[in-house]
Amino acid sequence: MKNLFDDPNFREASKQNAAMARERIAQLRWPDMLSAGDSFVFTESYDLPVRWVCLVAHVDNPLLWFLVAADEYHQVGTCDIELPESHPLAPLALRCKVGFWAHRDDLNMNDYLGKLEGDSVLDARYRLSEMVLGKVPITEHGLIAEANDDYSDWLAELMEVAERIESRLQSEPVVLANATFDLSWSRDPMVEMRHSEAASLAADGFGAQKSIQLPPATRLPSKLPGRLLLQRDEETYDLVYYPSPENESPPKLTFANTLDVRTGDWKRGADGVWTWSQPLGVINSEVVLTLGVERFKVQIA
Amino acid sequence: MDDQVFSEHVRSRLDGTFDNDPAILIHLKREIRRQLKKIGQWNLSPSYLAFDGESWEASDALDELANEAYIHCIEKRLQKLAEHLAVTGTCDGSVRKKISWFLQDRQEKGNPISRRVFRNVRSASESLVEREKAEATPSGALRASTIVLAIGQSIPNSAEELADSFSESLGDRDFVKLVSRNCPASWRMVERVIEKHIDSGLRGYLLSELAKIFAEVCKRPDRIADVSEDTDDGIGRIWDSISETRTDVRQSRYLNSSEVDEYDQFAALVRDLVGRAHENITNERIRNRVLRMIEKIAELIREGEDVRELSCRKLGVILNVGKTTVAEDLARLQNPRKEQDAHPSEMES
Repeated sequence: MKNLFDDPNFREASKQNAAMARERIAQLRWPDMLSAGDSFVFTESYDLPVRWVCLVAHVDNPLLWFLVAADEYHQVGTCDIELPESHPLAPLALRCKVGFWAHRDDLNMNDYLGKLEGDSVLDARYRLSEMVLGKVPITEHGLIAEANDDYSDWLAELMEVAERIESRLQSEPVVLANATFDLSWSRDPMVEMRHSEAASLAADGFGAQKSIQLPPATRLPSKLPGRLLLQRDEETYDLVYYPSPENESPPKLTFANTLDVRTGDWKRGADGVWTWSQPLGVINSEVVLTLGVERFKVQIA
Repeated sequence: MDDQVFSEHVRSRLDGTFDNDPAILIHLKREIRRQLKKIGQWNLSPSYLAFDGESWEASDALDELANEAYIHCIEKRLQKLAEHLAVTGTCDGSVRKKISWFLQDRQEKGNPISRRVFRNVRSASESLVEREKAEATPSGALRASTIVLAIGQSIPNSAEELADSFSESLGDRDFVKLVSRNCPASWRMVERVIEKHIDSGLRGYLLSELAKIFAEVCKRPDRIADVSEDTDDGIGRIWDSISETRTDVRQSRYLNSSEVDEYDQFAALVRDLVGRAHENITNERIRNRVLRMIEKIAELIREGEDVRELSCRKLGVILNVGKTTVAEDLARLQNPRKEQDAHPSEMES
């Protein structure tokens, strides 16, 4: 087959491109104060090429920001602002019609994608005011885009995602008052199934023969099909997931109050049980974590 | 793992371990094949996406498409993918979605006439259904396989009957010119024509069949020159925007007549545009950008640029703004009175 990697010029250019991308990643810094252009990604849109950009702070609460979607779909509607071709993140269009309010405290460094620079952010802020005043400049290309079903479908998908993000951010985390750490969790049928599998593997010579010392744990009330546990390990806590018979993997841990979760990952044991690679710590007698779209606040007695 | 193949690839690009192994292109081809099947293109000629070859399998078309997709969906987006990967731990969904948009874009560019004709017929049919002049079977979103029937009818006309019935319209040069254009006036014209035929006894049509009949006439040699002009980015020309009150005579005078007359007219037009920028645009930053744009257009014209060839995209690159931003700024220069005048007629039609 024809292979573009055979072209030495392409190889060289792509190497430089990768070096630039590495440099940008290394420069990612969580800002002390949010400002227009700061961009985030949320778990609800992990599978989509979209970022959410802070545009305006609320007039009565400077910690409350309006974020809009920015993506690479090639059609640009009347309420969208397109980045210039020379912009390092182009092609990208800010969809001013699709957004939500989020409080600074509900946004976290693990979701931070950097700052979108340039006049396009100012244009998008101005577009919001034009939308409010009904003075959006109407262009032929904008009308054509909006008459396009594919464009409408994409915006509808984005709006649904925005609603889900907003709804999660505005909901209180599940609070487990004075979580009790004991061994009652080990009698759960789904957990027992895994343990019996591990025992038969050991009997067949594929694992340790000695009996396993189970740690005290508390079960988190997750909607996941398996069992999510916080296991105590002396001063720290392990996040453990016992999957259902479907053997599904748990969603990514996107926030934990003591960790940079970007450097962690789920590890699967021989018994099919998943354990987060980093131990969780306690701050102010609390372990707070976000797993997929669920948030937990566990109060440690 | 196959479902993380693009994430792994981007990771290897970033940590410098990628050794130019073309295996990623094989994965990309597999994903493209899956998506081409999904959009009904796999069994059609690659020419629908503007590639040479009889079929995707018996030609180099898929290799070429995979190379292009790599550039558009990975290489040019490496920074964005790297950021996404660093935060979320995956970028496979992002790459796959981008591939679907890339194919959609290629489809539009590869066969723009048929796509536009189809959209116009679909929009016209939707309007007829909304106005209860016709019914759609099955109901819901109109698709290529939807049958549109006149009220009270149960069997649509055959393709031959449709071709006969619409033969008069297909011979009308204005109809043929408009039917593949991308504007509301086009589908409204199609709607009027279909409605007229329904009133004269047309029972109904399969949406894809009628669109195909209309699209066929756009392939006539005398039509090719017309339609190839408006495929340029889909964005209007600068001239059309800045000279809204022109007539063909005036336009030709700008371009061809004596230099003194041309200069006077041109200077007056620039003065008019500057006046409108001050009058219409209250935001200082945007007003300054628009004034800079007017100045640049004037400068380009003075340097001998053919104003008819000046596109929003070209001007956007020169001014370092988005092409759609240029078009919006030009819209801000429109005479408000003209806009107000335009509204009633828009409502009526």
